[in-house]
Amino acid sequence: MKRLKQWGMAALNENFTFLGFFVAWVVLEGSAKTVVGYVTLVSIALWFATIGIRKED
Amino acid sequence: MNNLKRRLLLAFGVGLCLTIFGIMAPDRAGATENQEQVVVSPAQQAVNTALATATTEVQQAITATDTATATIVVAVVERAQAQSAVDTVTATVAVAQSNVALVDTATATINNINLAVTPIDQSSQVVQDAKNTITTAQTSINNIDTSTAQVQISEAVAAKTAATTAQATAQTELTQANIAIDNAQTAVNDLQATIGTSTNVLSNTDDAGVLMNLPFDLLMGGVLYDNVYVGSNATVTFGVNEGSNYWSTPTAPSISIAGWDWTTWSTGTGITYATTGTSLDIAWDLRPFPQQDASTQMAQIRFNADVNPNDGAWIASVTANGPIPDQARFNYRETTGGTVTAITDTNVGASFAGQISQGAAFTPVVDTSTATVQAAVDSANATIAQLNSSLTPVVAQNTTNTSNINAINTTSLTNTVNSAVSTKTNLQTQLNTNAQELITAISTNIPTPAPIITIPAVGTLMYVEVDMPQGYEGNTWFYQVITESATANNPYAGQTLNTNGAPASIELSGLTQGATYTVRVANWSGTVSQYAETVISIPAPQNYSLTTVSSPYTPVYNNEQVPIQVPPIVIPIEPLGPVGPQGPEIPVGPQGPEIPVGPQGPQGPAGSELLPEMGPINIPITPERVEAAIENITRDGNITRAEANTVINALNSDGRVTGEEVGALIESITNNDGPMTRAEERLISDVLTQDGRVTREEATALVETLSEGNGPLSRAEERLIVNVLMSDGVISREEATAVIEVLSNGPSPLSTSEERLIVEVLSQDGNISQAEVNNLSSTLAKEGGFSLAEKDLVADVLVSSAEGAPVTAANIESAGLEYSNLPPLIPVEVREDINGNPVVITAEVASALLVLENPAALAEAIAGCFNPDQAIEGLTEEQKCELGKALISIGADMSIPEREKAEDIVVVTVIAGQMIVGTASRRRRV
Repeated sequence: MKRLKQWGMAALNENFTFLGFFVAWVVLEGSAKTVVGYVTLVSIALWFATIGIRKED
Repeated sequence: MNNLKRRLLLAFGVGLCLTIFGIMAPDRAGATENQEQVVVSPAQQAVNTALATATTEVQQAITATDTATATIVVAVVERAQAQSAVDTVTATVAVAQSNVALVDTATATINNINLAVTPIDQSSQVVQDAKNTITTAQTSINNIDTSTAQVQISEAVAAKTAATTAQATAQTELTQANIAIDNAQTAVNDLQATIGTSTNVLSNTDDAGVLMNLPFDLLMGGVLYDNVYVGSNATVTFGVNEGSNYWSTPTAPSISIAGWDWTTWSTGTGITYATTGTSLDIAWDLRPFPQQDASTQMAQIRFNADVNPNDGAWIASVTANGPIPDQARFNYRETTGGTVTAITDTNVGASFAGQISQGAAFTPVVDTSTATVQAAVDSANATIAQLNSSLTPVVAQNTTNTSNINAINTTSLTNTVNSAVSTKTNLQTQLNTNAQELITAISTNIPTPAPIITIPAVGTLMYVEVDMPQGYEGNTWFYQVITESATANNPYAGQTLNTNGAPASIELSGLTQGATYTVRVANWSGTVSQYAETVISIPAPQNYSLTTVSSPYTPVYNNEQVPIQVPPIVIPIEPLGPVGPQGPEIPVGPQGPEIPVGPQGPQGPAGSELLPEMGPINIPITPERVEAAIENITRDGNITRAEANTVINALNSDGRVTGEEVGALIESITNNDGPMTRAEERLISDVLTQDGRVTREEATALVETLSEGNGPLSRAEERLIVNVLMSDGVISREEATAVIEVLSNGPSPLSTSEERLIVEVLSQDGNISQAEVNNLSSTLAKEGGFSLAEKDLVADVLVSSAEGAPVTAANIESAGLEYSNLPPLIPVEVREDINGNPVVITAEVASALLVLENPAALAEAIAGCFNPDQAIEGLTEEQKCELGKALISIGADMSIPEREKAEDIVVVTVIAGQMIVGTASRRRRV
């Protein structure tokens, strides 16, 4: 439970980053949209995968 | 009562019948009532029978002679007609000989023409006149109609044969008539012998006399003689035998009755003398020397004297019937060497009749016991004389007929006609030689007219199409390429090149786009014709725009042709050997205009000089027959309209032209030496389009046969295929599919010419539709996969179909292609934005961006970059690793408005985010 709370707080801290990805994905077209979409998903996955090993400031 | 009546009626009837038969019976027997019965002796009966036979035979001889005369008249007429026909042949032969000689004169005229003085070409009147001498000579040879004369001679020979037969029959009848008369005369002599002493003497002899003892003394010149000499030359001599004298009146006392050179060699002839107590009768039945048969009339000479036995006086009647010569002697000489006294002819007709006497006049005593027989003898002699006389005109007519038949000389006519036939053959040979010499002289000495340059096809390579004016055949093209532009590339500068033969087009390459060239072409046929020239401006290259539609690549023509007098570059005119540094050898052998000389022999029906007029053909048309026919008609290098029609009719005789027939036709033509001529192209085209449409089977056979030939398809073959398929104004999907299938089923990959053909087929209607592209793609992919070369072809066609506009992604996909299959710099429309604006990028960028479509593609792209040595089919080295190009091209497939809008939003977002992040601590304190 504590771990889930930490994840949620970390995600909120990065909401603007995710928001940026989302906005970019929305406004782009074609290959750029595709690339941004994939990059967003990959980034989120990596972010969540490394959340436990990252040192909290 | 009734019985009595019946008996009376019966008796009356019987009596009536007896009466009628009694009256009629003597009539049927030829007897008359109260006629005196005459006993006819056997000798008399023999005379009667012989006379009857002789009468019949004479009549038959007359009839047969009349028949022979009529038949001979027919033969004479037939012979005259034959003579007329032969005269005509002789006249036509003379004309032909003269006209054939004129061809030689024409050759000399051509050879003597100095082109520097008389600048002419083969279209000039003097050349046409020279050629016309061949036609005239051929016509005059064809006019030698020996067949008519031969028929006339045959009819004359047949008529002569019939006449000869009829004449032989007439002669036979005449001979039989003569024999019958001889027999009758013999019978009469036998009858005469029954009333006195009769002796036959001097049979089968010539020039002899015999002593005849008399039962009384006979007075001559006052001297009594108890004997006389009877000569075989119709003489009676007294005291001396001069029977051998045939040439003159005997010297001794004599009597000459038709004295002449007679013989008794032939049938029925002989000399008979008979005496009674008061008469002396001598009969000569003779024929003139040296006749030994009875084919002609017999001369009957008679000396019948009544004698007065008391003093030796006598009076005699002398007669001569039959063929008596005009020079025969009728006279008597009373003393040796004395005066010769002529016997007067008292007869009006042809026969001779006269009277001669010696001594005192007296009245002859008639012996009543022999008077009846003597009268019969005299009557029979008169009849015989009449019969013999009636044969005189028959003999004359037979002589004339024989002469007329001998005059019917058909042998000379036959010899004349045979000579004419031989002369005709020789003239034909001579004409062929003369004509060949003339044509060679024309080809060698006189240039052809300038060739015609048609609109050249401008593409990657330039094909300048050249043809000769109608009626002239190209031999070898001499050509020059000249440009005024100093910067333009001209591989042909300063050269006069020549082709091998006269192909349909001249291929030019290496010229500079944007430059203007003058192309000059002349024909060499032993001498060089004037040049024709055309000016071609090659368009400058055009670049594709990524965002705008480019215009099609269109050449600019200047098709005005101006034959020029003097080419600026010296033209080698040696007929043989290479011309120019890179020119092929000039083919040896003139290829002049058709020589209008046909085969020897009688001229056939009009319109059939070289080939016999073909009637309906009911036999199957096999490839072998087609090949043989084509080989025959193309042997002279020319195909006339009639020959083409013959081939078309033959192939279409069953109502359709099969693929097998088409194949055989094309193979036969392409198997000939040299390139396919225009005439051969036209023939194939006509065969395939004769029914107004080209079936799939025909199209398949056409393409299949041509593509299976030696080497790649020539320009002429390509043009032929396209022209045939376009015969109905459009190349249908079915036809195009057939072409594509045939070519794709051949050896892989497709040759340049095959690809070019496919493009031409698809673009013949002015543009290539997407449906055509898709059909090409699906057809190529149907058999044995879709090779890279085939994809390249489809890509080229697809690009061409876009006509300079970007190729859409949908079209690329429907064509079964990918971006990587297209040329890298070709603009493609990958998508449309929300406002409908096309998003156009190059094909290589579009292809690179595909690696970013999904992780798998990305992984594959990454793998490709890490395996640079691995060959990937269809990808260049650059395409194998497109990741970098993809990364730097991200966003290239966005339209400009989209890109601007995205930039704006991203900028706003970043600013907003920075503001939010930057004010976060302040907001926490608040």
